[in-house]
Amino acid sequence: MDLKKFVGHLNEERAAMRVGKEGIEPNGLSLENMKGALSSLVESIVWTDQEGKIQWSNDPFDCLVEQKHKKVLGSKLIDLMPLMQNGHKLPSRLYPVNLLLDGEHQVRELYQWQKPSGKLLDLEVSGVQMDWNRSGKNAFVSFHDITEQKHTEEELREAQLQLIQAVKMESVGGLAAGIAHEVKNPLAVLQMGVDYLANSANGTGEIQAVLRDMKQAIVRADNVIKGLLDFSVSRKLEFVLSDLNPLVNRSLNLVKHELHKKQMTVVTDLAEDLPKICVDRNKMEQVFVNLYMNAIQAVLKGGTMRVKTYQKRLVKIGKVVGRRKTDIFKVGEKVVVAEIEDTGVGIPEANMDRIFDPFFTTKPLEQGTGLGLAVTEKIVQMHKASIDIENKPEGGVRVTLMFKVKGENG
Amino acid sequence: MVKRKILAVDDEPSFTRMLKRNLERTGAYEVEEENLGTRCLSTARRFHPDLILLDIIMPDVEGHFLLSQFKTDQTTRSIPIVFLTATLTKEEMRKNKGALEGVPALAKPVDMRLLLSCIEKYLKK
Repeated sequence: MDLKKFVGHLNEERAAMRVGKEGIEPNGLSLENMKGALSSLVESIVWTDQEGKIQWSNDPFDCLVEQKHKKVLGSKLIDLMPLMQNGHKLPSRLYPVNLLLDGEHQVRELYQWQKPSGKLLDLEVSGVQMDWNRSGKNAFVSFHDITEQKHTEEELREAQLQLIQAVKMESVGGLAAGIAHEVKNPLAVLQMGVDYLANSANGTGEIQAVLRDMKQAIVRADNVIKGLLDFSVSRKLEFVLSDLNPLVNRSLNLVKHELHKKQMTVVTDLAEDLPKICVDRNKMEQVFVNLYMNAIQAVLKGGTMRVKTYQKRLVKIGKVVGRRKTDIFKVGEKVVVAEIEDTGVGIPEANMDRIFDPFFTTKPLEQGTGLGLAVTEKIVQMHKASIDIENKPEGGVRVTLMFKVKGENG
Repeated sequence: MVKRKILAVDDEPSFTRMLKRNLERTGAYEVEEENLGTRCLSTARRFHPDLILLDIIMPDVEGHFLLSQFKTDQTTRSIPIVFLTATLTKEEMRKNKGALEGVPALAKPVDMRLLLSCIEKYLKK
């Protein structure tokens, strides 16, 4: 019998109450009987007096709060179990016991409670208010630990999201490979045609300008196709154990022309003795080149790009760091980090949620296909690494890549 | 000046037509078009090209198969071959140093200047 039914039952019986040795008793149900019945439930249950002090608790509750029964009796819930809701400390007046004593007849809410041992529990708390012996209100509260259930639900949801994403990517990939061939052939005809006209139109500068635009459009379409192909999951990665720093430098070398054009300063701070990481070198070079190009295009002439590598041990739970199976990194794991910072204009906050979306771009047409970061994220995910992009308080953007170290927590 | 002979093999007639126009206009080449893979070998035997531009994905025959035919036939085995294909991206070509399984290759769409320099590099001496 659940608590609500139980109390409903009590209320039905109330009409036939009579005065017994232990005060008011429902017909055939003494307070002692009821305590016995509640003790055998697996739910953690307490009831309090009108001041919110616990008058009775069952064994599961004492175990939940890891206190002796004697200590529990007379205590207030807020002292035994400081609750939180949505990550914030719950104000005293919003405690389920206090809500009930303030006049709510019934409550049912989800809370978190961090046990003294550090373990964070998700609790479903339900309670009713009753006037047991007409001497004042009592709060009658049960606690249901739904931590495991919530974790399972979250893992399931994340697994579903990943699956949906994987299916999407696979269909994009398959489609891309097919489209690529079919679109490149007509593009090749167009390119040949434009080359032919450009060489024969000895006429006006205007015709030449039109042909130049057409040629640029062909190059752009070709770049879109290339970007789409990068999604193709059929292109398997070739992982090799590598040092990060040479990869960082090789990629820098590939954009040195662009750096020079913008008269940019590059400051590198690459840690020595980094542990090796498992990467597809070509694909990861592409990631770095994409990120460098973004930085170069974001800064004004004479700007600065900083590239830093280091290793660290993860100590805090974060977006991609946690204890769940679905977290990419575990707390305590050692990782290799690469940071790329620019002194550009930064990313408007309104765009932050969309920067990884395919075809989302704020660059001029000839500069961006909107696939750079989408491809970058895809490659990073395939490495079981992480990418984080944020605006720096002092201006400009910081991109942080985190890589797993071979032999660290799988 | 003796014109050098180029055989352009591609299932897309508009592409071989464009190739022919562009190359012949330079005055340095004579171009024969072939749009059927199955007819390639006989065309090559008759035309005696100094270089063959060869597509890979064609509806009737695969470019790789044609390559092996050319390379085993007495009359065509010494003719240089350059793949001209839409199956590769330019990036992949750069990484492969302009070759596909040891055969010089160009990725479509190709720039005329690049095509001309490639032809001049591999043309039969």
